[in-house]
Amino acid sequence: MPKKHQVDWHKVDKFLAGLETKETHEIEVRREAIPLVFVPGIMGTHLRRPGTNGEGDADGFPNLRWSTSTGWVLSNLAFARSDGAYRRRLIVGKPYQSFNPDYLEVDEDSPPGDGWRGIMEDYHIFLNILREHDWKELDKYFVFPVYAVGYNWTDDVKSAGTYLAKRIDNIIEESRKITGLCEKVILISHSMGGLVSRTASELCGAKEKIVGIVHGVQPVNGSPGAYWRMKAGFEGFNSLGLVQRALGNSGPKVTAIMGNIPGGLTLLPNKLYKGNDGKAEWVRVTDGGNLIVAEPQADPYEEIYRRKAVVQPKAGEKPSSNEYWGLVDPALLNPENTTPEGGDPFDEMNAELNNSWDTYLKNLAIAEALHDQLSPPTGPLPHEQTLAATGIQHKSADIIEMKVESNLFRRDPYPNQCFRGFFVNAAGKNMQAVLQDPAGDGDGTVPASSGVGVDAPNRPSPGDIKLRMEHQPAYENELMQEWAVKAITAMVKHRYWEQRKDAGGAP
Amino acid sequence: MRWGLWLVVGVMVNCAGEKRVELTNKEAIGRFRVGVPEGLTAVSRSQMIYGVEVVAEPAQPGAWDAKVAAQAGKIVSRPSLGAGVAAFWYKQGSDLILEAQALRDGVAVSIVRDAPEGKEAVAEKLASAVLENYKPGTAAGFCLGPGAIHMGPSLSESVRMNWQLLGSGGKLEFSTQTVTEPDTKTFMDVEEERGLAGAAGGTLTVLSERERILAGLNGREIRILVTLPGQEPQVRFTWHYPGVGRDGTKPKIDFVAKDSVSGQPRLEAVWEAMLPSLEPVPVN
Repeated sequence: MPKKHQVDWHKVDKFLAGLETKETHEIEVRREAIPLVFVPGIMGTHLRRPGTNGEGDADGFPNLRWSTSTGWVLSNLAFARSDGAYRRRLIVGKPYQSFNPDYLEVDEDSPPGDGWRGIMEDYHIFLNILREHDWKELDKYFVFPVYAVGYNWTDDVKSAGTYLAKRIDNIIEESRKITGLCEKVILISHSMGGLVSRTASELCGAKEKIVGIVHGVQPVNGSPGAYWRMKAGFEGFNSLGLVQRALGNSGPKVTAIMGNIPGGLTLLPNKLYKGNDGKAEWVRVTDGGNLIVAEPQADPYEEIYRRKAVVQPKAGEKPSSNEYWGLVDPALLNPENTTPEGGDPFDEMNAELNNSWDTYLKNLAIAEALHDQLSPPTGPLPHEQTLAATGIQHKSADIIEMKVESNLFRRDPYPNQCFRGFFVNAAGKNMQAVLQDPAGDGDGTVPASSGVGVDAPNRPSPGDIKLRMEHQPAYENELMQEWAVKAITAMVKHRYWEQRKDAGGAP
Repeated sequence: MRWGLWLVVGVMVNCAGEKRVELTNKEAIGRFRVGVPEGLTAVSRSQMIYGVEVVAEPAQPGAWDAKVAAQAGKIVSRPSLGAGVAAFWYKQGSDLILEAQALRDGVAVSIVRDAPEGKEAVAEKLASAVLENYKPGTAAGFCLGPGAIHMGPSLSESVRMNWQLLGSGGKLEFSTQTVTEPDTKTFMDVEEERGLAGAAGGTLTVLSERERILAGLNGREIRILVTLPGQEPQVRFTWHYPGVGRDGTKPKIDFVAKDSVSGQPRLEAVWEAMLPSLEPVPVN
């Protein structure tokens, strides 16, 4: 019987010391596992109430609180009561509860295994392509198990990054048990998953365990589309899929969720954001061609997000001073609480206790802290081995444009897929600033200017890329799939030369 | 018999003349009373007044101790809210939450309410008022089942009750919520729903749509049939009353019933028995 030995693939040209000369030796070359870890976008992870397996109902709500399966979306969003109050209860909790990171957890197995169960089924198309891909020469040295890491997207991106970093450790450990050799993973991100991946890498200590990150349609510096949707709901003119449409067609429906979760607020433009025209003021209100509001000048947090969106002018005030362009109308945060106008002292007490706005500010501060760390004034932090794909040629909100019209009788600031900010001008006339449909270039959600935020010149082939693709189904686009496989290949080759650096030769 | 269930004399016959469904009891919830047909089992119920969630149930030995134990380690104080009232504050995430319970004639009246730090005294005063104003019986007030809170009406009231239709997947829901402005949107946008069904590869058919007055309130009833690939078609009936802004006695009201199309006749019978029974409960 020959004596068996294992040699790591990158050491096959090294001398094997200590072998007995009279024996027959069998040398097995050990391949290196490089797990391909997919990190989904916001709402791409299924969430459940902790302590349940996601099945059944409790308190009239499903234990599975978020899923992208058609049946779930139809039952619990599309054809449910589905107003702001219902949505807030579904994702955030009862009216007396504010955001709690422990309210929901990823609906996955324990242990999570490959993690596929926890994420949107549509992603499986691309994951199966990766799983079945013929890596040719690279297969001699490497194996590529395909994982997905879902996360609680309602929570702080920092928490999601911390969770991802921990999962990377677990995945490496698990892969090492199988192949004997695994040190690093490759991350493949979609949308918000890009922020989570960069957070894990740059802020949560996982950088040295990551070969590189392949980003798809990442809102690197945020997207005014998040603002647009909190004002007006998800757009109707796009060919949006069921899930996107079911998220809500009006500001009240979307704000009841997004305004109450730090994860959602992280998708807003950060302090580095600029429109496709390179200008920092991405909220623009024009009256007959004259720009009457142009925000932010420097800090969207102070100049837009922390301003209460008062959408009706105060009676008798000429001109009115209400800042309808603020992000959040406080009345939409907790729809089951009505602000009193004097009268019942107990209603006044309830109003004194209602801290929805303060809670929103706390959640906003969480998002701001993450933005400031991940995208300091010097620019967004990328992993050294980064390749990014940006979607273009779909109308996207790179700026928010409102046009002023006279207003004689309209009262509803939140018609479906629209927003009207009412005010009184200097001449004492009732006016309305009407939100315009997105018209910039991008993928329908992320504008081109933000998608390219981590692009850099002279990256290895296939390089960063702009593709005509939509945001949500980006990884269902064949060109994107081909590019992503090439990007992964480039990173694996980098890993090859990283391991073989003492053998010489060009990477 | 459950506390507060009113026996109804007589039998309801539905409009279509189909299978008769008897109202076995009447359930008082919030500012309304509704007949509950046979074959329905309540699966959840919640009430909120002045932003305070309040529940009244037959007292169960050890139930309060279990609540305390469930928050063990998070309890920050045990305030005194008056004779016969047990209470504690606990932290949940960044929330500071007050739970309290008073025993009234064999009924445990429980409240839950949050407060920002520094405002605990206001929450305690509000919670105490809600507990003090509980009285057995549901002839008037904000009804909880065995009794009612005799306050308000508040501008921040909501209730929700869900039933399961025995022997099928049918579900019914009744909910009310005070509004700042009339809600003219919930369950009113059939075209949007048609678009959602289309996005799922299915179709939506409006079976009927009409104004319908219940308890003197003019709402809109819509019945739809949704057909999706690979699934049994589903029917959904809704009745939506938009409410009157800042009027606690006229919250928005929704009845919703759903079942597969094979359960439609029975669902219709239950629906037609239940809806006409809606009636307001006097405030005082």
